Amino acid sequence: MTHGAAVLGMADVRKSFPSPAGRVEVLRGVDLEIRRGEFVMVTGPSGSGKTTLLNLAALLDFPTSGRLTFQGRELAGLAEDSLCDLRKRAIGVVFQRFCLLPRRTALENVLFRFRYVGGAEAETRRAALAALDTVGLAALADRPVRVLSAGEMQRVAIARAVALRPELLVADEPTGNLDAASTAAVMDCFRRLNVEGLTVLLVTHNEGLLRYATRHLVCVEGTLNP
Amino acid sequence: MNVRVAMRFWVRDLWEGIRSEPGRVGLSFLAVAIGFTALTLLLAVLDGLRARAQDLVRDLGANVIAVVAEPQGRDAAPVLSRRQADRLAGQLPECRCSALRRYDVRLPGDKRTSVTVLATDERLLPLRGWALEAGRNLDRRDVEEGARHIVASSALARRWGAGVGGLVSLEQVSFRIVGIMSVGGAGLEQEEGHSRLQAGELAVLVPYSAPIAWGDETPESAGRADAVFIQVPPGRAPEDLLPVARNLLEAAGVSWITPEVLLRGVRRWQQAVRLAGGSIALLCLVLGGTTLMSLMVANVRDRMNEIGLRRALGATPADVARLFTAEACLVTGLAALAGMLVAALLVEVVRRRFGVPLQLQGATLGWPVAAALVLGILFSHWPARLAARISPSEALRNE
Repeated sequence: MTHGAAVLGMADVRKSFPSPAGRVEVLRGVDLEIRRGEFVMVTGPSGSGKTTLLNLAALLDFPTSGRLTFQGRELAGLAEDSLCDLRKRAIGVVFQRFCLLPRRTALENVLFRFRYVGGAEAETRRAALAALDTVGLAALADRPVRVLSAGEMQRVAIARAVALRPELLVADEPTGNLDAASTAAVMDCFRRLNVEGLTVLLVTHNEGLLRYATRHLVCVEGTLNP
Repeated sequence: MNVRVAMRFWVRDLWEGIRSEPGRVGLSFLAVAIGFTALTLLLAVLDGLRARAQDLVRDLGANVIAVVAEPQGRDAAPVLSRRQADRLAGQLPECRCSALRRYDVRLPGDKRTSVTVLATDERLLPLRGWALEAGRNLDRRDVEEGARHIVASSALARRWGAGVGGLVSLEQVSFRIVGIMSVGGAGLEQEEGHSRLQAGELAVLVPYSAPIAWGDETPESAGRADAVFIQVPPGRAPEDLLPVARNLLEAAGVSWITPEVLLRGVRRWQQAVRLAGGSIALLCLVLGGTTLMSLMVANVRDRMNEIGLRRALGATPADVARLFTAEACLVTGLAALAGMLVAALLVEVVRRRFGVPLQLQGATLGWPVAAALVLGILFSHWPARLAARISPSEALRNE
């Protein structure tokens, strides 16, 4: 399978955090390039830096040093507002514990994707329903998310993440809280979206999911290895 | 962003923000509402005092000096006489002067109700600014001829069931009603120490020269006046004319009352209420605001996930700060409304049951609303800033 232009690039990226015992280096010179249409899966033991890597990929954090690019654009020194603009439209994030708004329906949760983007009401509603349809939950659109199963909740979260057709979908342990059947349903969603052209970066402990990926990387002690 | 969509998002966000921690929001609401009740009550007292000051000035007349004789024995020589008033009028041609003698007589057939009889001339009614509702005022001829003509207050005319031209009896003397007036006095009537200026609801004006059957005149007290009124021409302050009038009248044992004298007491009250009540209201509001702030800080900590989600979806730090500020303003705004409502009820109850002249004017209610916004912005500043400064990755670490 051939892939397009680079969506995300990291060159000698390092990330450290302050701690009572001094600075702790979590990422130690990571080099990574993810091209359009790829489905990259990162595995590794706990504390190896997977989530930190994901936060950088989702533009939720800045590296301490090194070069981070998104669609060829250097992100160092980018103003907060420009970064927020990229997060609004170009990145979709799926969290392990879904991060849904429990009092709202599935459709309202997906519509929340447009909270800081806006758009005409009919258009946003159409896009949100289409996203729910993509994950197979159009029939549950008006159901409050608190009554959905864990697998359905995660699929709502995926619908929210992809409702604006982002360039990159980043998922942190999306199946970590799911049983086998729900895991399969969620992973099928990811695969379908990837087949439709969406670039996916997914972090997991579950090596059984590797068959869904087009590329597998292992994170060990802050470094990324093929 | 489409305005309708944006509004819908805002309403939903604020509603959920408030519902997310009902206990905390309720506590903040209560604390702030108590503050706003205190503030609104303070404003009601100040409004009442302001209205009272206006009543006093209107009742006396904005440009009137009243000279009131101190109470004295019936046989004593008068300290204030009609002759002095006439002399004063001659010496101050630019002013309108009028004297009155006041009697209280029983209403025929009703021993408990008394009528205030003001023996005076034709100048008193326009000078005091009392309105003529029907008929005419006393005229020069009535006074010169000692005619048995009266101008009755509308309340008294109603009581008698008589109109203009009707004959009525006061202490077995018949009088013809030539006019019906509405007498001011809501302000002066309640002013302690100025009872001689009061006319009361049931009052009549009679020519001072009319034969009377209710007086207690002795040769010594004949010609006595209870009060002399001097109306200063427009453009001159009563206080400016006061020294001149004092010299001309040469009367001892009298009180000189000007609008300024009347207002002095009210102003003292206004100042005391503003200081004491204002401090209490401010303290209540600050306490309410501090409660709101501490509970909002706890809210920020509990809503880390939501903050992280919003940031991941593209919210800027300013968006997050605005959300918390708007929630705080909504709480303070609703608390202000509730506080105003409670205060308005209290004002009504106190006014009706205890006759305290509290008042709430529409324009005054703008102050609590403005204060609610300022309070919301001020006391949510720190929590909102705290929320805005949380990095998205840090917020989502709690996920």
